[in-house]
Amino acid sequence: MNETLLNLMIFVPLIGAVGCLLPKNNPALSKMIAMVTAVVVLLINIALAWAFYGEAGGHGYLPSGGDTVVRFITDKVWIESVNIHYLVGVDGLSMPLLLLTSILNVLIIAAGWNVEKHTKAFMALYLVLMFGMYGVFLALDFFLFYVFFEVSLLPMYFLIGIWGGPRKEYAAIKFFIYTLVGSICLLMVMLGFYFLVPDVATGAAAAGGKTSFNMIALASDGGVQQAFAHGGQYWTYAKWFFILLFISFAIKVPAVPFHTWLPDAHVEAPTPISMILAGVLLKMGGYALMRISYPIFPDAAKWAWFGVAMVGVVSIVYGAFCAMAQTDWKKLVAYSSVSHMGYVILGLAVLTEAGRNGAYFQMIGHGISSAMMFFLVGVVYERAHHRDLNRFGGLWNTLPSYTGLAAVGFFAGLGLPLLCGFPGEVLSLMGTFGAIGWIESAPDWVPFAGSGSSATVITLGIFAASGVILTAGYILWMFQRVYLGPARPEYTWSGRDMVNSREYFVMAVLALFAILLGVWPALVLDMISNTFNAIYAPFTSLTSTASAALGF
Amino acid sequence: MLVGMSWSETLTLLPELCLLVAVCVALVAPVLPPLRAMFRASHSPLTALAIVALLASIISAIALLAGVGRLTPPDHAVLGGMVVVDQFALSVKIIIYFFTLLVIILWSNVTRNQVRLTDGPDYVSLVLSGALGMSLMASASNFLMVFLAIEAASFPSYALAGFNKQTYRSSEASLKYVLIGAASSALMLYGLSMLYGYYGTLDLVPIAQRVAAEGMSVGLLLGVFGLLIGIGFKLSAVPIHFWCPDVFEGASIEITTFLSVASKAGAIALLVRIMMTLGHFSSGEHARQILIGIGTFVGLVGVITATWGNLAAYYQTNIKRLLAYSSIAHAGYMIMLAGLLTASMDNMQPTEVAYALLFYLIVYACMNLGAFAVASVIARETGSESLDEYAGLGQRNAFLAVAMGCFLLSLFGMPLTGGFWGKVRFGFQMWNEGMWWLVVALIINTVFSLYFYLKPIIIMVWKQPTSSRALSVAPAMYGVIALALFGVFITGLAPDPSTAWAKRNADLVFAAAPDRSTTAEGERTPEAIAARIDTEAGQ
Repeated sequence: MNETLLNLMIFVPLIGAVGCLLPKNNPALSKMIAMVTAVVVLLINIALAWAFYGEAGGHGYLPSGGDTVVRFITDKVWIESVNIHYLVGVDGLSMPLLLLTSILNVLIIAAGWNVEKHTKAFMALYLVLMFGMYGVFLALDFFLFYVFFEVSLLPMYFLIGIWGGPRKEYAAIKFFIYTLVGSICLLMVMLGFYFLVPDVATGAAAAGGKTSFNMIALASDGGVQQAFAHGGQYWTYAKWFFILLFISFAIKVPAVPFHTWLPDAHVEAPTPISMILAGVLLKMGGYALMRISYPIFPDAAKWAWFGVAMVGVVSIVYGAFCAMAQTDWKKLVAYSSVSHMGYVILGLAVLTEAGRNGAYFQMIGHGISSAMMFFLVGVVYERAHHRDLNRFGGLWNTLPSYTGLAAVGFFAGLGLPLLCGFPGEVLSLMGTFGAIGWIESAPDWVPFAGSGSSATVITLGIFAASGVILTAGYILWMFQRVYLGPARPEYTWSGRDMVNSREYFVMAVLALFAILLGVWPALVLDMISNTFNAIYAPFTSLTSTASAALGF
Repeated sequence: MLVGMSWSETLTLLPELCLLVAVCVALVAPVLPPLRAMFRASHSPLTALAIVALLASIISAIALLAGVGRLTPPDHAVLGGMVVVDQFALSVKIIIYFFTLLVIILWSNVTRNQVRLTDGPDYVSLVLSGALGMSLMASASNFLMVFLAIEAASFPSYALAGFNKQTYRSSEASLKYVLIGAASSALMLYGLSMLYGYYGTLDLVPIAQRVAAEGMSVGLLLGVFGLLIGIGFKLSAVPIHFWCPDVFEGASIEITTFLSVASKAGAIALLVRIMMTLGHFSSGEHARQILIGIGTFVGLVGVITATWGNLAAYYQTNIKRLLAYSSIAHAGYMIMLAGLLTASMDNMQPTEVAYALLFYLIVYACMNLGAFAVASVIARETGSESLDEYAGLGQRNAFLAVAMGCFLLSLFGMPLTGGFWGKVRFGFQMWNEGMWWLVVALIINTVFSLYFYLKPIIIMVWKQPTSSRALSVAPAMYGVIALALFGVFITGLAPDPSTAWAKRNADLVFAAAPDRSTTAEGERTPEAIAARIDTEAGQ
C-alpha cells in the first residue's frame, strides 16, 4: 500500500503532465489539472509521512531503528545487463525534503497562475520537473538517481528558456551546460563503481558477481567500505570519486567557484521557476552530498574536510559580498542563495553532528525563505516592471500588509532568531567550532590534524560567522531602499493592480512555515535524527566528543 | 546453383541474390515493350519492386540467422572462403537492408517526384546495388573481396551523390566523391598488392599467422596502411573525410541518409572482422607489439575523427552539413572502439566489443534515420535546408520539433535514449580494456558535441517562425519518424532485448580459414581453427 503510494508520487506528476497537454485552447483547465495533481501529490506525501513516522515504537513518530531506516522500498530489475534496478524508497533524509517539495509545488503552481504565454506547455513542463524532483529524492539506485537528476534538468532548461526574461537563451544554455558537466562527473563515478565494486563487495557474490548500484548497499557493504577507506586498495579512487561527486553536486548547490550560472538563471527565470530553482533544485545538490558522497566515502570526506569547508566559507563570504554589490533586486536574492547554501557545505564538511543537522535544517529553511523572497520580488516586479533597487522606495506606505509579510520573508533570509533561517546557520556554525575535537585527535592524513586544528577551525568559523553580519547588512540595506522612506507615486497601485488574494495566500503560507520552523526547529531535526544516526554511523565516534563539549 | 557451390551455400547468399535479381529487373523491365508504359507512368512499380526485394532480403536474412549453423560449414565460409556468412554479418546485413527499405520509403514520400520517370530505374538499381555492396562488406573475408565490396558499394554511391543532375552542388559533390574515392582505392589496392607480394595470399588468416611467426614487415605496414585508407574512406575518417560534408549537402536527402548509416555499418563490420581476425590468429610477442601498435593507431584515428567532426559541426548552418559532421563524429566513436580489438591484448573480450558496436549500429541507425527524416520533411516543405527554417518549428508542428529534439539529444547521448547506452557501453568496454585515454576522449567529445546538438533545438524552441503556415507531412513519414522514435526510446528505456540480440549475434567474428576442405569439420573456435591450420602446415 505505502509502496504503491510512493510510486504514485513519482508517476502521478507524469500523468498530470499528459493531462495538461490534452485540453485544446483551454489554459484554465490545464492550470486546474496541474493544481489538482500537485494537491494530490501533497496529500499522498502527507499520508506517506504519516505512515512513515506513525508506526514506530518509542518516540511515537520516529521510525524504529534496526539495520536500515529506509522504508517502503520497491525493487525491480530495470536493465539486467548492467544490473540496474528501479529501486525507490524513503527515509528520514528524503522525507522532509519531499514535504518541502510538495508544499512548494502547490504554492508555485498558484504563483504561476497568471502565466499567459503557452500556459499548457508551462504547466506540463512543470509537472515533468516535479517527476524529476521526486525521482531524485526517492531513488536509491545510483543510476536511477542519475537518470532523474538529468530528467529534472531538461524541463528547467525549457522553463527558463521559453518563459524567461530578455537574456533567457544565454541563461538557459549556461544552466544546462554547467549542470551537464556535473552530470558527466557523476557518470564517471558510476563507471568507476561499475568496474571496481564487484571485486570487493561482500554482497557481490549473492548478486552473481554483478555490480550493485544500490546506494544504501554501497554505503553499508563492509568490503566496499574497506576498499574505499584510507589505506584500502581503492583509496586513491575514493579520493578522486569524492572530488568528482563534490564538483557535480557543488555545481548544483551551487558553491563558489561553480556558482556563476545561478545569478543568470535566476534573473532570467520567471518568478515561479526562480522559486522552485532556489527552493528545491539547489537542495538536490546538498541532498546528494548527504546521500552519496559522505556515507559511501567517509574516509575521503575526512581527507577532504578542509577543502570542502573552504568552499563553504568562501561561498558564504563571497556570496554575501556579491549580494551587497547588486542593484538588481533579484540578483541580490540569487547571490544570497549562494551565500546561504554555503552553510550547507560548511556544516557537512566539518563532520560533526551539529554541523550535519545544521546543514540539513538550512536546506529546509532556505527552501522556504528563498522561495518566499523570490516571490516577494516577483510580486513587485510584475507591477513595477523593473528591479532596480535604487529606484524603489516607500512601498511600506502603499502596501502595508505586503510589507509585513515581506519583513517575515526577508528577515527569515537574514537569519533572525525565531525564523527559519536562524537554526540552520547557528547549528552549522556551532558544528564548525565543535570540529576542533575530532580533528585534533585525527590521524595525520587528515589536514590540520594535531595541535594546529584549533587555530584553523576557529579561523574558518570566524569567517563563516562574519557571513551572518554581512547578510544582515545587505538585507537591511535592501529593505531600507525598497520599503522604507516616503511614498512614491509611481509605486501606488490600485484596482486590478492591487496585490491579490492569490498572492497573499502564497506569501502567508510561506510566512507561516518560516515562523513555524523558526520556533520549532525540532520538527525537522526529529524527522531526520534516526536516519542520520544510521547512515552517518562512521562519523559518530568523531562527533560524540565534540557534541558533548558543546552540549549537543 | 552457382558454379562450384552447393545449394546450401547458395542459400546463404540469398539476401544478396534477391537484391541482384531486383537490380536486373529494375534495369531490364522498363525497356520491355509490354511493361514500358507502366514504368513510364509513375515511379510506383519501381518503388514496389525495391520494397519487395528488400523485404525478401530481410526475411531471408532473418531466416538464415535462425538457421545459420545448419546451412554453412562450421567456419561459415562461403565461396571458397571469399565471404563469411556468420551471425554478425547477417545482423549487420539486416540493419543495412532494413535501413535501405526505410530510405526507399523516405524517397517515395519526399523527393521521388523530382526524379524524372526515365531515371527511376537507374535510381532504384543504384540504391539496391549499393546496399548489395555494403552487405558484402559485412561478409568479406578475403582482401580481394574486401576491395570488390568496397568498390561495389562506392560506385553506386558516386552516381547517387550526383543524381540531381540539374544542380551544380550535386555534381560538385559527386566529382569530389569520385576523386577522393579513386585516390583511396588506388592506395588501398597498392597496399593490398604489397600484402600479396609479401605473403603470397590475400586470405586474412594465413597472413595473421605469418605475422605471428615473423613479426613486422614492410609489406604488412603498407598493406595495413592501404587497407585502413580504403575503409577509412567509407567511414569518412579524418583526414579522408572531406568528401562527407559536401556529398551530404549536395546529394538529395534520402541518399545522405543512406550513406550516413548503411555505408558506415558495412565498413565498420569489415573493420571489426579484420581487426578481430588479426587479433586472434596472431599470438606471440612479435605480433603482440604490432597489433597493439595497429590498435592504438586505429584508436587514435578514431579520436581525431570524432574530435574533428564535433568541432567542425560548430559552425554549420545547414542541417545536412551539421548532421554530416555529426556522423563523422559517430564514425569516430565506432573507430575508437574497433581499435580496442587489437590495442589491448590482456583480458581481451572481443565479442563484448563487437556486441557494443552492433548495439550502437542499431541505435545509430534509428537516431540518424529519424533526424534525416525530419530534415527531409522540412526541406521539402520549405525548400531550404538552412537551420533558419527550423525557427519556431515547435509552433508550426510540435510533433516534428519534439521528435527532432529527441533524435538530436540521443545523438548527443542523453540518458533515457538509446544514444546514451550506446556511448556508455563504449565507455565500459574502453575502461574494461584499460584504454582510459579513449574514455577521456569519448567524454570530452560528448561534452563538445552538446552545443551543436542543442543549437537546432534552441532555434526550434525560441526563434519566432518566419512563416506560420502549418507543415503538411505525409502519413508514411509520420510512420517512419515514429518508428525511429520508438527505436530510440526502446533502446534507451528498456535496452535489455536489443542488448541480448546484439550479444547473441556478436559471436566470434572471424575471417574464414584459407582452405575450406580442411575446416569443414570440427569446432569453430580460434584454437580449433589454428590447430587445424598448424596440422596442415605440418604436413
